[in-house]
Amino acid sequence: MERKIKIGNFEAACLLLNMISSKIILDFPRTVAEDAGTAGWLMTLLVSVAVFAIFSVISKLYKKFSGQDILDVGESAFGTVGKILAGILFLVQFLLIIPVILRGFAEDIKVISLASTPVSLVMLLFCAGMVVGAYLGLETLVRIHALLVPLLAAAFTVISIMNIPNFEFSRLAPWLGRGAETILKEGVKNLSIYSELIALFFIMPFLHKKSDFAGIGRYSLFFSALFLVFSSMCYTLVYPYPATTEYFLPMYQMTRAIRLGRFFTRIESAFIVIWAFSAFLYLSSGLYFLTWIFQKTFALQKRKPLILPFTILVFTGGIIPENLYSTLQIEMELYRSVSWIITFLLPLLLLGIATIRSRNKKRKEAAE
Amino acid sequence: MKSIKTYLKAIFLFSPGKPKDPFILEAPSKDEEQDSKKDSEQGHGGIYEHGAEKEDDIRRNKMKKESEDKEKGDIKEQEKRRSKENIPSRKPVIQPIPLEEKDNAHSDKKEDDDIGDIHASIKDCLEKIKSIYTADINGDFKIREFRIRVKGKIYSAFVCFFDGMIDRLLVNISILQPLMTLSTLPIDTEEQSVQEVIYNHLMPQNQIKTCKTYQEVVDEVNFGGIGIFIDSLGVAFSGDVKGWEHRTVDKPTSELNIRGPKEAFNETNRMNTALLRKTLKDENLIVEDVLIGTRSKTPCSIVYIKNLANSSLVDEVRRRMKSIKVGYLQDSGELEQLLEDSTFLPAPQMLLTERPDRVASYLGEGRVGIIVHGSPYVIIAPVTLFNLIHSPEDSYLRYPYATLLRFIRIMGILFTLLLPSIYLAITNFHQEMLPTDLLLAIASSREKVPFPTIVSILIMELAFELIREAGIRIPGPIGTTLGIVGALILGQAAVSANLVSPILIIIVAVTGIGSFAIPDFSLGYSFRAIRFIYLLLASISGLLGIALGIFVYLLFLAHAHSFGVPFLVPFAPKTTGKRTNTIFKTPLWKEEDRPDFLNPKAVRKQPSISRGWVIKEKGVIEDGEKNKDR
Repeated sequence: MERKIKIGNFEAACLLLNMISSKIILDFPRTVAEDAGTAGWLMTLLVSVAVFAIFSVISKLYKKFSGQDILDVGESAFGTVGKILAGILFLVQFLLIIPVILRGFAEDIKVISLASTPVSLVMLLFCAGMVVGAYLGLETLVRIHALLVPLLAAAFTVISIMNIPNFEFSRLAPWLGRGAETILKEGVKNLSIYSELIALFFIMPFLHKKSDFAGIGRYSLFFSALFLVFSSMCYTLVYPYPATTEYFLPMYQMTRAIRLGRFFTRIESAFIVIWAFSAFLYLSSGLYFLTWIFQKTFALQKRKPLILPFTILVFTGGIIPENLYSTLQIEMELYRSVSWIITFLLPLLLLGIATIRSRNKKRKEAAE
Repeated sequence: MKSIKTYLKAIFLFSPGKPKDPFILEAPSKDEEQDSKKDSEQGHGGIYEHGAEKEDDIRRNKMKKESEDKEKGDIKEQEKRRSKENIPSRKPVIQPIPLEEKDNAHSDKKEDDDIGDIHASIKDCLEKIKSIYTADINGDFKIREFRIRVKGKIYSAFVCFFDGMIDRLLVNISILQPLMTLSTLPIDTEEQSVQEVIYNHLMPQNQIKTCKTYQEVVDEVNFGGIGIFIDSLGVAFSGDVKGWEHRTVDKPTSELNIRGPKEAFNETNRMNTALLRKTLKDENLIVEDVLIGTRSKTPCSIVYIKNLANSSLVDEVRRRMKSIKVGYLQDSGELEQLLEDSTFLPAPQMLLTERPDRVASYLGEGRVGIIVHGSPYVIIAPVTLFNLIHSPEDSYLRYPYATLLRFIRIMGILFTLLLPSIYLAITNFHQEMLPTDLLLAIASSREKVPFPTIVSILIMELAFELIREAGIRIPGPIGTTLGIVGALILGQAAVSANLVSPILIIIVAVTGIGSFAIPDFSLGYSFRAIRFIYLLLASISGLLGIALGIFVYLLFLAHAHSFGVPFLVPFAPKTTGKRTNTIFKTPLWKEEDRPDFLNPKAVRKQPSISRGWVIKEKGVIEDGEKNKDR
């Protein structure tokens, strides 16, 4: 007998929190600094408020579809064709970001401490972790998130606190960075920083208390926003604006700035373990969702046989970019411009049409 | 006709086998399960329950007869229908042989089981017993023939037993002497049958069972009992007269402590249950007997507190135990392997302890214990990873000391698992992490060593494991000497020969000492094995490899269950209850609830204020001394 997967609220929130916030380790503070100048943190704050509002609308519409994932909603809106089309779009979204994240993390680790190791070997090690995670399933993954995400949050807080001596508040000026118009314009594109929120729409059927769906979303959005805003603000406070757009690994640079006396001189390497945990968690959850969406979209009986083919796809996708810069370009220019549409507009569309259709159906039934 | 029979046979052979022997444990039917549950609720679960055994036998025979009748009826009905409808008989279909039938075909157990009912004639009984035990060859099997007088008639009788397994004095005083001499006493036996007179008046022994089959007698005799046969009764009696040599209650050998009781379990099942009862003093403690092993019939006991342990947990333990079919079961270590959820998980999923006080404490939380005859270790289930790093002494020590000791133990675990691999990662990949002076010290100490660090570490780690293993196998004081000599001389010689660096000796020694701090020896083995994997990963990619190892290990632990309880609970999954007594030790008066993940029947362990003396007057709580500064 197959055991039913059940996910607690805290576990679900930790999963979302890591999926959304892991980009802090990669390049998030730098990219927002590039987009909005010294007002990167302000733009992130405004984007967070906007995402909060959009999510409130989505969660209200979702109330009628409690216990259904977004693919089921797609089926209610447009039938099986709708489900398959929505599934393919979500698959494309995940297939675009996971190889980029895989390559990004591998390049980061290589730059930090494995200078002479080929990047493909580092990627293979990440792949090994993500295969095991995806194989053991969602329940195991969320449990491990509940265990490790508080540690990651604590590590981030420690890095921020230890950087307080380096803070200089004048670096936040000019307060509106590259101008209000740029903030708003770039802000729309940057809605994509919350695109991993889509995972919540897939774990909906597994939630222990389905009525807490909106609460879990709000909780994870709040803490993600807190970490994202705080990280971009700290980064701007520690380094002057011209330097903030130069460093490829902002968080690594922040750990390098920590001084702990004469004995502990270079502790940044110790944080490799923390970065790696975040990467493993993100990648294994991503691979799980990839295989799960594929299984659900095409109504397959088994999910586990899909793990290896998708890992090969992800690995191959990750190895294609020439270097770290071109990897980051894919993320910034391609992924961020489209993923907010798939994460927020597509669910809104599906939920809206599914609601109208269910109302019409009810009316028809009442009339009969 | 033959083809129909073959066809029907093939169909019916797939039906579950009928219980042939009350001592071979089959999964009980629903009715039986309910009955057994009732029995266990009332505290009647013993092997020697005379009435319950009798009822069981009757019920089992009835069921057997009913199912046989049903089978015969079905075949006849189908034959009739075929002849009526003129259906041509089908070609014989070659059916796959069911696993059960295949197993039975290769088993020599079947003929042993079917040794029949007790004969009425004493001669037949004697012949049968002699043939069962091959009495002419078996030197320790004894038969004593004699005569008794009941209701004015003389009957031939004999007793049989294994010499050395019984208490001779008890047999003489409680069995032979009364049977031979008391029968002459004037007893009012007019309304009683011969069998009743013997059972009620002539065997003043506290555990006598009436047996209808030879198998019942044989099972008793094999386990230190005595078989009593009397002419013309058609039944036999068996008495519990165990008197074999055994170890007395001794100090624990693997769970040493300074504070707390110093008694340990031994190899005798009943002595272990008695130790437990003595510790708990609770009438709700249930000791449910189960026999495991088709040949060894090892007595095992499921122990739990009936108004605390979750019923589904007890059912699951019972279900798993009753489903085990092995020839011989010698030790709780074997049973642990047969019961555990995952064979390949590198961590024990049950806790084995030799301390009655520890078992009692876990039973008090709503867990279940399993005692195996012949093993001084009792199994506790379910457990979490955090239970395995607790020491039995934790409860007896004051809160601050116990907390400190737990941290030291966790440090020991981390050293065992990660210290050599972190050393390897830092020296090979992340040299920048070290302060310059230390880096130079390590570099200069490694200068003359020709091997790469991984080879040096593996040499030393394997040498350490070798010394440890040899130290255990070599008897007596030589073992300890070898350990010291091996560690000191080998280490010093290895450094002098420039095979390893002195810092590496320190690393390996600290790792070894750390492994001794792990309270559960099974978990210690697990960590000792896993550290080699970490070493390999660290040699490939430094700290990233170690992170991969930790991540995968945690994934497996998060995936694991112990009798349905997640292994990393209450952290992953996070449960609603308080995280009492997991990593941090809580003060004894604050341990108010039992672990909620066990779903015990009573969650509350003690009231919010368990120290009544802190309440001086209504609404005012003072912590020991008069608190004037309020």
